[in-house]
Amino acid sequence: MKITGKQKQGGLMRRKARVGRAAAYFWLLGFLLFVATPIYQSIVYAFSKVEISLGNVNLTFIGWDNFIKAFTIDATFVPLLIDSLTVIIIDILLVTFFSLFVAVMLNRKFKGRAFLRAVFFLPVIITSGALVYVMQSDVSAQFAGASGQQGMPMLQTVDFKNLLMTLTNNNPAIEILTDAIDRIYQIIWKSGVQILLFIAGLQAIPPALYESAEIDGSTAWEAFWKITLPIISPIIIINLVYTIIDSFADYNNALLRYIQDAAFGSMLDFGYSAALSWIFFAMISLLLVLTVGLLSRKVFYMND
Amino acid sequence: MIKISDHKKATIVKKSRKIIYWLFFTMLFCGIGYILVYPLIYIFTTSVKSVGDMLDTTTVWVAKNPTFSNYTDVWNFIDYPASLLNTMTIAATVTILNMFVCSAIGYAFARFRFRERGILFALVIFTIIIPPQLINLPQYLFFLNFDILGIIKAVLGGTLNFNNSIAPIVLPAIFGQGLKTGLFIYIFRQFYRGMPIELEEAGYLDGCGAIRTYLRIMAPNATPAFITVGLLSFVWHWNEVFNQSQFLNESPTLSMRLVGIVGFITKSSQVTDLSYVTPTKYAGVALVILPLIIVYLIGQRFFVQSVERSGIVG
Repeated sequence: MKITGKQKQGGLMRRKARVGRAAAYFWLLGFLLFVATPIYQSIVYAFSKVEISLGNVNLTFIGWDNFIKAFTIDATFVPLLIDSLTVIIIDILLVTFFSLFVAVMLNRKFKGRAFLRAVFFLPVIITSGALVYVMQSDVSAQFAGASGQQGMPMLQTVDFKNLLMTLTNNNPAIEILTDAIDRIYQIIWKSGVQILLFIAGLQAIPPALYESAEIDGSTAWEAFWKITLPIISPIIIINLVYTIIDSFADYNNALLRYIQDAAFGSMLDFGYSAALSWIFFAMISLLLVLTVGLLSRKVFYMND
Repeated sequence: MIKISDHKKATIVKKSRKIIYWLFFTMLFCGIGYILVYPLIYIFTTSVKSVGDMLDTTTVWVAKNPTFSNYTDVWNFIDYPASLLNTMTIAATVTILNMFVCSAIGYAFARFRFRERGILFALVIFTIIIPPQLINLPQYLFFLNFDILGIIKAVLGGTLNFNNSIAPIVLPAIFGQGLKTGLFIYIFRQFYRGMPIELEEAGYLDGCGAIRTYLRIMAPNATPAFITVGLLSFVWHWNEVFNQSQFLNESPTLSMRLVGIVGFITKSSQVTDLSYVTPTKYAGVALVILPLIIVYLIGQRFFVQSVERSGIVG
């Protein structure tokens, strides 16, 4: 019996699919064990009154009460939610543009490139985990008015702003301007991971493409729009997703601290905290679905 | 009037454009660089200040009486060699696991077609966006009474208690779960998806199976992705403090120690004593981030090399 090319390929595809499926199901096993179980628990918590005593958890089912409380009784939650959503939407745009710009610049060949890249990696180190906590405590100490102490003088536009305000007789335009300047710090600090991802993406672009474009007479500007941008468009999507998630998980995010506080701090109400987390989570998901849904049609994959 | 030939004019325009360009970027990057390096300079200069320098308002950056006793103090206080070893073990193990496991899973999602792929990948995204504090408490309780469908209880006669072991951090990593692993899978998937199909076909034509093609051809060509994920995973596990302090009370890591210093300071001292403890605290910070900077410098060398190595693409 003759084997046609199509059949042969089908066999290969099926064998390939089996390997891929095995890897994906291996992941699924881990997911069910380490993520799905806790998530199920937390959904239960969101609909319960949770009392923890001596390591025992007592649950009383109370239905939608926690959610209703968040939107009707709690006066802090909704404003915080709206606030952090607005900030995040601005951040997504600024961070993505800025990090792409910096990454393209850092990908050119020039003296001291290695050093500059190391500098741009600093935010990744300093704004994670314990270090944020340590630095944060210093900044807040500064605001608490510990006179004579030198906290991190990172927020010096505060002084600058006051000066400008007095000079211009409280012109509201100044406030907008200084707010924008304040954001520059944050944007730069938030872009570390994104720049890293973009650089990795830019490095994966075959140099031959640029060479042939140059032979065909394209300028660097054209090459950017016609080669660089389409090829790294998958990375743009990752970065958008990452920026959205990162802004939500940010230590400086007042909403997140409020949620944490609800569980472990003043309220000690884990069920309510879980409900708030789920509302918050629904918002992130909505934002993600909108962004990815709008953009994924424009993404270009070299093979598809 | 001096006549300048068109050719000369063109070179002058070109040259001056280059200089303006250079000036613009030097200024821009000096500015941004300053903002980024600022905390680092602050950490290192503060860490060598003596009490006198802290009280002296004319000392801003450079200490007049620099002292290294802050470093020796904090070295002993946080038991640096032991904590460093604990942190190293966790960060290195998890980073290596993340790099290999997430790469394989990312590849599976990028290059194999099977019916459930879409929904399974949606679950991967789901793990990225789920707020960690949502599952912290249940996860903690889960690891204190570790059991899988009652199997362990049936075999060993009791559930396992994973308190004070690195299992709660390493076990999920084996299955491609844990701190930000969803993002790592996503990074790998996007990379493999972006790689030219010819590369893979070459492997199949030469008679390699799916696994061999992945190991021999695809993975080596994804070096930038491996380095990126490796660096991120290493740094995040190095600095991660929440999970570690939940599970590793008896073998504290550097990040736990660092948070411990802050706790110690706020508990035991008045605000006025801050001049005494702040330099010590920053000496601690410096000791924690120094290894990270070294790892980055090593890692980033591979970063640049990887381009030249993957010459095949195109």
